Amino acid sequence: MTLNALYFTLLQSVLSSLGAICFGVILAIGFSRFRFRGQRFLEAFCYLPFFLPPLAVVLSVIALYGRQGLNLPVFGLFGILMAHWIFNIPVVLFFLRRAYQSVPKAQVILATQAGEVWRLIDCDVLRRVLPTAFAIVFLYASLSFTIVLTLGRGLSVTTLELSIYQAIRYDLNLILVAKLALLQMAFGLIVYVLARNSFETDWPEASQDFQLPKPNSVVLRFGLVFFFICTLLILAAPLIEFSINASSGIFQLFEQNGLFEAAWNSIKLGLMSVLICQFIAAVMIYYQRDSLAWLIGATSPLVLAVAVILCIRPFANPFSYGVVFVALFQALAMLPLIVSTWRGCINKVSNEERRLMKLLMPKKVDQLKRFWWPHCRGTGIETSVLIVALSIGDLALMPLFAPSGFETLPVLIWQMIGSYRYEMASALSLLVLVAIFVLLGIVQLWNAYEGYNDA
Amino acid sequence: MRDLLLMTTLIAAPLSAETLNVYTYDSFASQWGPGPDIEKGFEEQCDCDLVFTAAGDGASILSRLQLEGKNTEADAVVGIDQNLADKSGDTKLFAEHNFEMAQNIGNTGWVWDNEIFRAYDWGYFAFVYKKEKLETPPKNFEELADSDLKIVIQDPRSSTPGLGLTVWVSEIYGEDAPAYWEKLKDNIVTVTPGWSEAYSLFLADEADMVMSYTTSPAYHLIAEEDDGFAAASFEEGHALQIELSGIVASSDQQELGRAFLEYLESEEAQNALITGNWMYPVAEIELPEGFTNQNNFKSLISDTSESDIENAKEAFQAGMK
Repeated sequence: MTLNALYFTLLQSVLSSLGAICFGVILAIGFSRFRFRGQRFLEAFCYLPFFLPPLAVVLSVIALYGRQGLNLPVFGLFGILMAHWIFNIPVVLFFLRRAYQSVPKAQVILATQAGEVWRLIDCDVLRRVLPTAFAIVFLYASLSFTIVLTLGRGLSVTTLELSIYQAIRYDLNLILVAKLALLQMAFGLIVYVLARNSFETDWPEASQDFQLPKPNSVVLRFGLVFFFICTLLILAAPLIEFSINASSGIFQLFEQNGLFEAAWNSIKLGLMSVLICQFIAAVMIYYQRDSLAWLIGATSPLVLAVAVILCIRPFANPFSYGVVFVALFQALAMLPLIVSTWRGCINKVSNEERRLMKLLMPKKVDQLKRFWWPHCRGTGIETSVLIVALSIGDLALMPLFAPSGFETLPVLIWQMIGSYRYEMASALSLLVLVAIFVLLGIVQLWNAYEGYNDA
Repeated sequence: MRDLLLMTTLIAAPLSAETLNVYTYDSFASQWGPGPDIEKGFEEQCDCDLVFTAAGDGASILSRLQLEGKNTEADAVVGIDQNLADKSGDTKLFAEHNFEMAQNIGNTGWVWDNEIFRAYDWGYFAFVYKKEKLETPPKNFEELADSDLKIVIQDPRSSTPGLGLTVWVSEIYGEDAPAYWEKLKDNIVTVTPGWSEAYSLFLADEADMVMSYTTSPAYHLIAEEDDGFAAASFEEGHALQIELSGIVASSDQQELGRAFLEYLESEEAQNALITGNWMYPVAEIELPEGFTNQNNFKSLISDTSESDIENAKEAFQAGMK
């Protein structure tokens, strides 16, 4: 069974990563080459699926491709890949867009004049970013649980994460859990080693978001627009279908007790995750321990939770600090993404700049206040919003650790479904979707504001 | 100022109220479940503070207790089912309840007599369908496998109804269970991690039938005034799920825990369970109008051991390969 799990985990993770990269590249090139009204809005929308609870994505995929939609074989590898692509195209897009935005202006002018934009800019960006993007998508796909099980028909489909889940929940077989977790970590480490070079690449100086020239050939231009729209449809169509279906329960939702309290709890939990995640990320970056972040991220949150509980148990009951624990494990699960994002920002500073900074500002406080803060605050806000958004959509750990009465929005969704209130649960999922969209919109506005100030 | 704060704190603190911490599953403790009514009712008579902590489902509750060990804050547990009873008892984490009377499980003929766990409600597993979409439901497992109907079931590795179904099939087919699963494979749209995902897919019309409880249609009828749902009655009989409560051995609230278990069997609590948990009561009380009549379903009485449960899971996995 373990071999079977390993084979399927590998297969779906590789296909999920390759597909997400293809579509992500098309979107990133499209956003860099064209300017149109509502582009910021559309780009924010493209990041949205990454933050959604897996069940919302599963229901969206089923709404569009299932029996009531296009009637395609949604249960099986096709459905799993569609759901994973929806989840992971935003990750690839995120890394590529940041890389495009950091291409030096001189390089753009040179490439445009030479008529070699594809070779000198696109290929350069792809070469630097794709190994990291592949590694992260592969990691997320290999840890996927709800999507693989719900859409996988449960036949020969199984994953390491499911085997771990079962070993913890039903058998509490800690030896088996340890073996499976080691296998999972080995997976993550191999991927990290393969992608390591790209993590350590020196990024050039940042510049603003500018438009690259459109492709010269009409065929290429038309092809790019066509595939750009197709990719947008892959991302948007299921979510739109789901939103239309879910909107009918919205008014019923506001009559329920506990909605605003749950929303407030979600925000509190999100902010706590921000503090913990940013602190750990800062320590890891300071001591250059990116691989450790990766190793932690490659471990199942459930395994981490059990390990921490076993360590703390002799001294205190870890469940007494339930909310802090949920925030801690959420933070740990997000570390690879956050550390990679910070690393991208930090590496933009050249050695010469660092030398000058140390010369002009001998005090570390001054370095932090007058150099690093103006340089990195954009990334700080961006990563913080990412953490809050991811935390709001998380359900994996809440039921295990949540203290009595501390209900978050995803917990409320789960309770509604568990009490036969499917319509209301769909409506609340839609509300979470909108809230995350608003958060992402704030990031886009902030980026625009920073760009304006820099100009 | 400090004195004022101290006085306020002292006044605000309860004077004599003891706290009873009860671990249960999510839907039990939620505002739509029976938890809030039971909490209110018990607190009125015990002069204590009853706190429900949602800890996933039955299997998760046990894992959490095992992880916490003797440091657990739980005084009692609500939501373990009979398939987990032996395993839970073996952990030695639970105390004997010392009630004398055995419990009759409805009119199924099953008598629940266990030194550690008390039954508080029960239900039959069944395949639920929409009447307007399926006029003639299958009458037995063979008809189901021979039909073109699409069904959603739950994974026995991660769900208690999923485990219940595999035990049910193994009870009927014995050594032929893997062959039956192989035959049923074409009908299965998907196997979900839990009941919630499966029922959501069924409501979204992705399947004709879903593995649930005979009492599920009662929710749609009573709470939503929708008469369109029914549970298929199988000639072989229906497997049961008996939900259990127990007292945690390390708790210093043994008497209060016992009082709580007793309260769960009272008429007041049983009424809250019927329309909050949508299950049959263990006490002999009248069911509300529209509640699914248990006499419409034949009972399949089985006393399964831990090895039977393991065999049932293996049969499922062998047949579904």
